[in-house]
Amino acid sequence: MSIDKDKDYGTPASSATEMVNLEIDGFKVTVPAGTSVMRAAASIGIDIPKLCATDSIEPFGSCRLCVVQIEGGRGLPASCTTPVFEGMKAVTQNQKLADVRRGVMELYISDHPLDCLTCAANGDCELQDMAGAVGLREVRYKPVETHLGATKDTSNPYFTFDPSKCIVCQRCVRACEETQGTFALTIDGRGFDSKVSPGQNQDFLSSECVSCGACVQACPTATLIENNVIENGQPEHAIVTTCAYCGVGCSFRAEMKGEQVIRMVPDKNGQANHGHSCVKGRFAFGYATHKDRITKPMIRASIQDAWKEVSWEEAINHAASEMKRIQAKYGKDSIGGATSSRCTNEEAYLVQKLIRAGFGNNNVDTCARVCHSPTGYGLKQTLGESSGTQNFDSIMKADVIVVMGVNPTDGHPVFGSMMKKRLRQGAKLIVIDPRDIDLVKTPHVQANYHLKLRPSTNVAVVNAFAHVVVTEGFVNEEFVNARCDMTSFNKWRTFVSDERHSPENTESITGVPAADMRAAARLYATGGNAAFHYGLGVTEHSQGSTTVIGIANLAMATGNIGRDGVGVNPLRGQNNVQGSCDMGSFPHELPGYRHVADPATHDLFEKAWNATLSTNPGLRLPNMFNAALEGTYMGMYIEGEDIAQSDPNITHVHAALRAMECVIVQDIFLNETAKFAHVFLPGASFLEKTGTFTNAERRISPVRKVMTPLAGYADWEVTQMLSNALGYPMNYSDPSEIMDEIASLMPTFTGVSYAKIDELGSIQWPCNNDAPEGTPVMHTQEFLRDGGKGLFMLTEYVPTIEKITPMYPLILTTGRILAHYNVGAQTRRTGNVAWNPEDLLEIHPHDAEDRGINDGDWVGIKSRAGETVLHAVITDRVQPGVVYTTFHFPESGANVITTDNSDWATNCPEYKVTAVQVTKVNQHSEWQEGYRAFTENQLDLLAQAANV
Amino acid sequence: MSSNIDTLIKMANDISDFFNADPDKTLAAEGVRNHISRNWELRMRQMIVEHLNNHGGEGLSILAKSAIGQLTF
Repeated sequence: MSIDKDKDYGTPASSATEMVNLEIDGFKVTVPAGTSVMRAAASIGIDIPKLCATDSIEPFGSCRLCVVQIEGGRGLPASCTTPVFEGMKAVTQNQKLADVRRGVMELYISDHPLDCLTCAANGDCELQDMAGAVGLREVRYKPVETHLGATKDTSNPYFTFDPSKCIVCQRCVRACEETQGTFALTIDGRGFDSKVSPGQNQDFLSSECVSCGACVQACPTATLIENNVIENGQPEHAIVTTCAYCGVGCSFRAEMKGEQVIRMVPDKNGQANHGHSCVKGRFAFGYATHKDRITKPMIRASIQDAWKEVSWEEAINHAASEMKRIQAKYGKDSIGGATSSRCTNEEAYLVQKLIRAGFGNNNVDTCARVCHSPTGYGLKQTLGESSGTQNFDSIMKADVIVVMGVNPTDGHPVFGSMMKKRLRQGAKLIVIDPRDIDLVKTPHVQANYHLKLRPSTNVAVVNAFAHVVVTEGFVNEEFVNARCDMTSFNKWRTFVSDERHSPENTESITGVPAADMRAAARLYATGGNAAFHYGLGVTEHSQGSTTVIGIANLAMATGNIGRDGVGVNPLRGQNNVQGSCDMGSFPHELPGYRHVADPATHDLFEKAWNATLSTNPGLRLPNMFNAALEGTYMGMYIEGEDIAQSDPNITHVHAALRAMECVIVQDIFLNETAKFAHVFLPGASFLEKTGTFTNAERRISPVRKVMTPLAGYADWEVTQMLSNALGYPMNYSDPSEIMDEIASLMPTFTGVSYAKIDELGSIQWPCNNDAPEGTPVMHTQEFLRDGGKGLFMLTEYVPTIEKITPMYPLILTTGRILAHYNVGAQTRRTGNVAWNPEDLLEIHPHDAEDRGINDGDWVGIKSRAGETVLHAVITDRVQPGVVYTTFHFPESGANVITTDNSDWATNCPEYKVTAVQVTKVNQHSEWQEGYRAFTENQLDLLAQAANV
Repeated sequence: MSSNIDTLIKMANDISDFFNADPDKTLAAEGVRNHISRNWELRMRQMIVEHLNNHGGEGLSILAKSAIGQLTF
């Protein structure tokens, strides 16, 4: 292990296919046309001095350190901005060039603090390196005025801005523009007064900076540097691993000092993120060593009892005996469990295997139940596979981007930045969302159409799109004839042609002006490569699956599927939610989305697992809760999920958890669910174990242990111990063996192994004999259904039962924000609370005025399910009649309000549509008071654990 | 028993609302039946069939009744 960094070629690679031959310092080199002289030189090991150039951003040519001489050319051009040409002869080193470079460095250093020995960047400073490279030995200039006294900006919790060390190379400004696309930084002033400025002379924290770290990454000096480096010094080795936040699955170098993570640096070789990051992955990793981590197993008889710390052996044996006792008393089907979308593929696979083979039933579910289960269902039915069709890079070839019910700049920030880059290049944008998400209007990006639909009317919108496509002659007949099931297509064509689906006739339902709807549908169908991206604003509805099906129908009808730049792209929420689903976490499907009753699949797994498996689908999470309240489901093993916060109508969930006789929670914190638990098994963070995550583009990426598990075991080891104690033997010595077993049982994984992942960096499934290096874009030749034909399904709009009434006149919709992740258990324990310390309720000015609500007031939000209280934010980001909040803080009780209504196919909750009333109040809700007392009690019982 | 009967009736009717879009009601009923048999836990299926057989399927839509009547175990 070492800290070896990836080579910086100075300028980005050229994608040209035409090759150019040239000579640099007498060495012959062949590079793609458009390559800079600097990059061409670097490619043969000639590193031209540079300061303002780095290969993550376009060249700028300002520092003049990289000058070269070109035979036959005039002057000394900057090698970063000079493209190669056929027959070019370039010289990078001679006395003239050396003199120029030394002079440039003298000027820089004359206004730079000479504190290298005590500077935080010592050992990682390009300015220092370049001073050495050009042989700077003296500084002859005696400046009258300097920037050495400039004040540091320490407002950001993760990095410090020290303008006294700034050389105004503008790499930070350009990174903010080109890589992140936020344009938060600028150069204020001219000449000597030039300085980097966040916003309009604001500090970093209060500016528009989103703390993605691109500027820190780009800075060649200590001007922008991580506080961890300032406090702890430079890291000494690095291990490449995969972020545990969100479904983008960014690759990071965990830069370490011993077992301490000094910083997480986005890996430029990362195939999902290409060296970019967001505030969560880049900086918010401190939760892994937070004081709230629980590292000792604990048990208790009831949730009124104090916890008792016990040995691993005692905890495991107790958990196993309790599960056996419950099965003996209530029957084999009276227990079950939940896999985690935050844990690795190997761990999810093991938990579902334990439940199916060890418990002897299929009562396994996962958090996808409450997020993208409609994606799994809808895409499996129509396209034949429960996953998105593209890789992220595909968007760079899209001409039209549809963003429906997803907020990529907050939920999937790194992909959001890629999307913004493509939009700045000229791609057209259609946003279908009730709320003004950032993409609607952001620097140099403006949506061509923002269809501000009423919540719950997604199906009417996709049907109106389909109506336009069919009735205005935009069907790609050639594609449909060749690739799709024609019986289903003809039935669908007749269905959507009906006038009831026209934009004009659905306008009263959706609230979208018919002209805009028609224009947007025409753009989607005729604008070139059209890529559909969607998220929980599509799935978390009573008709979530119907909308997913409708999107797949549209993509097939217009031929926007099966090649780069198009497709159906669900942006999955959690880091491994795609993977946990792939691994067989649903109660009706074995790994690889094969039904539990399918004879061949059943036989395959019975033989492989040496166990008798049930052919009956198991209980879904909401069914588990109902069964618990009815006394037939009494024990549950929950790994790395927090159903007591994340699931809808949590009063109901809490009651179900209280009704169970043994709840086993395996987690890194005493999360909300653990407050109802009887056994606590300490989990390991992503930094403490080895495995794989699968992101939203089906990319299987390596997760590598960088520190010893704080509690002694990785999660897969804990599951294995529990299984063995239950009498179902597991004997894996390494997660790679689990992956080998997965590969032997899943046709889409047969080519996957740790060796292959190490070789390729990551792999997009399917990876098998047909695609030995994986599959970036699916369905290129045929769909994965039997017969290979895409299936059209009819998508009638069925209004939700969650109606507004005089008592509940507003629609509450929920979502998330950039700084926080899911239930917030991780991000709430990091510096990210500097941006968002609480959940807030967004309300339109008209609705606020009607209720006498002012910005910042406490407001009560009451639904048919419950009531809670939040602070109000008055904003026209939401439309009149709609209010919005997030669900990152348990005390907010966002899911006290949400109801049991759910998707017809999958029971994914209708989080996005809850009828509420909002009123000004001056105290917390009754539920919140009860929650506070319960939590205080539980923390007190936890505090007693070591002494019991 | 895995869920109260009102929840199951609503679930069955919601599923039927989707498949009811098919003008061929035989195919629609088949869609509902397949969906329930492939996704519902055994106790849930038994309970809804019992509701149909012993309580006339009160609350169930026509299509849901037709589909549930075809469920086999």
